[in-house]
Amino acid sequence: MNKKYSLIVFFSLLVLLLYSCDIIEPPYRETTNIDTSTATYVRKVLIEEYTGFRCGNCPEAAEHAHKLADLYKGKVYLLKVHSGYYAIPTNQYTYDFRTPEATELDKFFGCSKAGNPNGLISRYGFPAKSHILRDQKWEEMIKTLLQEKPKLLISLNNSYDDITREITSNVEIKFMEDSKPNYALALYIVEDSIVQYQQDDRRRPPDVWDFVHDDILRGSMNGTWGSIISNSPIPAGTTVQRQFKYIIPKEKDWRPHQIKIMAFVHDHQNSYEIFQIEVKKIIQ
Amino acid sequence: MNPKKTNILIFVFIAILSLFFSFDLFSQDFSLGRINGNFQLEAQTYAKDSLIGAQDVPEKLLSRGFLYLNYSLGNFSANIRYEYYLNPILGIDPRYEGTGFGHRSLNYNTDLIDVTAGNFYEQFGSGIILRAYEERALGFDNAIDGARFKIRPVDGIEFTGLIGKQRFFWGLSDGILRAGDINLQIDKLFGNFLSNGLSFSLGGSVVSRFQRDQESFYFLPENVLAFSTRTNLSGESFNLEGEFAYKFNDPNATNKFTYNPGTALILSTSYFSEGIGINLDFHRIDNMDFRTDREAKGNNLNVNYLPSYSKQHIQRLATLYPFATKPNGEIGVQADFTFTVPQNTFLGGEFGTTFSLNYSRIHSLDTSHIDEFKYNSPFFGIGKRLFFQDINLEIIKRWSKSLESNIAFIYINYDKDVMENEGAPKYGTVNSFMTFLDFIYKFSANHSLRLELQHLFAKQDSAVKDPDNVNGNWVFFMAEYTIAPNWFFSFVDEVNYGNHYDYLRLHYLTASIAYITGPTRLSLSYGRQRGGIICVGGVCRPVPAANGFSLSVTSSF
Repeated sequence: MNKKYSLIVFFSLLVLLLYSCDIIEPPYRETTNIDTSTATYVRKVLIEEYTGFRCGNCPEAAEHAHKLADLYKGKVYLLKVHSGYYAIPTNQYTYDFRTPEATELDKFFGCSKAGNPNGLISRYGFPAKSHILRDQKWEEMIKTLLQEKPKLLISLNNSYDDITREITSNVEIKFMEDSKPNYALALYIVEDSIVQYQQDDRRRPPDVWDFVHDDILRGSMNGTWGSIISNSPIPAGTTVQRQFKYIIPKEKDWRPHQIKIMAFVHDHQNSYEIFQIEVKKIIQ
Repeated sequence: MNPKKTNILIFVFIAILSLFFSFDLFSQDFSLGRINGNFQLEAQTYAKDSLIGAQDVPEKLLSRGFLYLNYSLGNFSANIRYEYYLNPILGIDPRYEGTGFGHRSLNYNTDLIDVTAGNFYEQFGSGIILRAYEERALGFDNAIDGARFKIRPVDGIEFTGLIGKQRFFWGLSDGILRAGDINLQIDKLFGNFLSNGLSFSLGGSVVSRFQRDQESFYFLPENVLAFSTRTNLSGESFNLEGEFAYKFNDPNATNKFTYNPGTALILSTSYFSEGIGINLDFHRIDNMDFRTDREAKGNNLNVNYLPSYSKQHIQRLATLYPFATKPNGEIGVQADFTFTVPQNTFLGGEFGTTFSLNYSRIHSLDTSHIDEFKYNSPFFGIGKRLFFQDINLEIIKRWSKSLESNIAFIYINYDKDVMENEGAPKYGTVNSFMTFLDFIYKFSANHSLRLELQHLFAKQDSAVKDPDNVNGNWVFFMAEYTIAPNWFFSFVDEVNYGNHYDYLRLHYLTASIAYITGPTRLSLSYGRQRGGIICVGGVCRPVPAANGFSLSVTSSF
């Protein structure tokens, strides 16, 4: 290459580089508009946040998750999975948020090993190992998934017997596309407004003894991975109904009026992606 | 077959396989070019040891390995690196799990141009706005995947331009890097400008990162630009260096989404003559965490590298409290003085004595918030918080042809909250004082014994809330017997005799054997390894405790 031309090319590149800068002036905060699109059928999305009550950076991510749930109201749901090192109780911080389901999910998806806080968005990207996302990445994935046509719709009705402590959930699934045999329906028990300790490193001291924990995974009605809906493909347009019952054990400190059931269908033993989700309280 | 036997067989198989690979099998010259490379294997077994916090793993054995091959023919070269993490050893990010070719590139290099396509490493100046490198001890590899051009139109001028994405485990970063650098060797360009023996260079760099703004709450810069300038003047007995960097607004996860610009200033001067060496450093770093992904944390997707301006101690117990550069803000000084007392004097004795005195002090910046997005920080303002202070003296003396000693005293103030807890109050500051005694005695030309004794007083200034395997006083003993040039045998005992909790006053015993032949090193050890932090050049990662066998093989060909 001629030396003169090489210099011209190089300085041209440098000039181009110098233009590659965005300087943001105040205000830095965008005026966010609540998503009010009224599509009849929507693919709803789950933010599954892996957290721990001794994780000092987690409250900030939790706030971000709540902002997204408010922004995409009725389309984005939250689930907090306490697991890993920061969820282990200590002599001083004794409450145990962990559940066998949370531990199994965490081991399977490898979330706490990647460093809390992080989250899965409808468990998308799992086989490709791109499923674990930091909080600032969540919205990008949410936008992508919300644009997709729903493969199915879920209708959920719960009831609760105060005497027997039994939850009954009736689920109706309408398939908008042909299903695969390994689609599974899982029902998680989720509790809001638990006032317990949380470390928040933004505060001095970081100990928050009356932190309000919402959307906490407490257990499941039919196991961590749920139940296979059908052993054979289900044609589009078909509606299937399932009923599940669960008695809240007496030793549990759960408060029924704060409990909700999260029903979702996922591609079990394949992509594990959650295709649709519905959430309702057990006491309306 | 019994699972334990299966695991032992796997372990032995890997060891034999590694030996097979590590010799000269691939070292071949042939007329159509030359192949060289290197090989590394690590394997560790894990047994549960609740007292030291060591986990077992379902696999029982974890291992990683690397085989690098470089083919060159004239001005052309091609290289490839195969890696496996089956599964990643504890402490290495689990997202490395798997096997594959982590690095491959093609290169054409002449006196005028140097063109690379594929993966490459690069550094501008000291790296304060760009350094792509690999450090396996940290599980760190931020290689750039793209294209790079270097042009040297005349002797003394080099331009570099590059574009690419960074490695992110087995994938690539979201963001794109674009960068340019110019390096001028003034003494080569204008030979008469400087007197003989002087060397003078100037440099400048520009780096820009592009990443889309996909979220709805803040206006984020999609293109973030940083630039730096540097100079170096050196002679036969002195060296002067200065580097300044500026980064435009880059709100990201590690700087808590501040819109402040980032700056870095590094000044260094040294004087050296026979028996004397003096070095003085000053540095100020403000909001200089720069990554190809504004959301990345930890040791992931770093674009730049901020060197540590404190002594990197090699003594085992001193590594309990290592300093890691704080890219969000720090200001500090370092002074280093080395003096060798001549032979045949009172202090020098028959063989001379070397004294090394080193001091470093690093503070927070003096900052005050304007609002939630911006803060003020006077350029030479020193914050009240002492991050780290280190005063140490090392004396190296040879007593006879057979006996040599190394004695060191190290006093460290270590703000453990800043270093290990992102500044949140938990541990407070640890004040520690370490004494180090090291003796090497040569029995003959081939046989020698090294004895090392270390003691550490350490006390943190807040209550120990949760049990840990680090706090309190330690003593360390090592005996290493060498049969040169092949065999090394060592025995180590570390005792945390001053732990706040009685049941954690534990011994960490390890025995090792190593065999070295030519470029190949094979070592096997068994014992308890305490948890801690490993740092290389001011970049650190936590290392979990482990109990089991550890195998390491390295070779080059």
